[in-house]
Amino acid sequence: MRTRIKEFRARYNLTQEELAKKVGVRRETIVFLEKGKYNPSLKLAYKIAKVFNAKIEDVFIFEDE
Amino acid sequence: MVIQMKREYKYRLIFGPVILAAGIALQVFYTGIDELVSITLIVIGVVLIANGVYRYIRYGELPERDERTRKINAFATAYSWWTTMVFIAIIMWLNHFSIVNLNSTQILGLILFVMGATAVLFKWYLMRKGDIE
Repeated sequence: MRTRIKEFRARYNLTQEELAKKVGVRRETIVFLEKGKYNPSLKLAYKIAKVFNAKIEDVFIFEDE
Repeated sequence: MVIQMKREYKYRLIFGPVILAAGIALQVFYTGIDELVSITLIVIGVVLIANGVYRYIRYGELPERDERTRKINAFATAYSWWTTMVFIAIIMWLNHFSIVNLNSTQILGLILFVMGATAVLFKWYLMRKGDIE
């Protein structure tokens, strides 16, 4: 799965730590999300999308493997 | 200046020095009491302070555990459990055919070690990998 978290973070001028704090996870989790190495729960995906005022499918892009 | 700190860190940094001071006071003023008691209190106090400071610096206001770490911990524990099962089966057959001769204390010690070590190893590996899949 690909994400556009980094892009949205830059747009909202947020650091990884600030985003982690807003959604209640560790900074490393944001790092792995940005690298596409971690598939978040629906709840976390929703929280992140909400921070960016976007839809889940705008932030997280599911690709068929 | 007020330092914002999570409650669990605050408790560690309050009770740590209290326990440490109690240990030192016992050591200095009550010579009749077993030294092991005061030494244990001093060690607990130092560990609480060091742990509180380390965690505060490392995590600050961010959570120590989240959905990813909980998932990894659960899988690491399950993998460790299965590895230990295989280990126990191997030890059982080795003992059965008298290839190794271990007494119950040695076997229990080995199982404890394998269980602990594999849990730490799996957790470390999965944390580096990022996720289970």
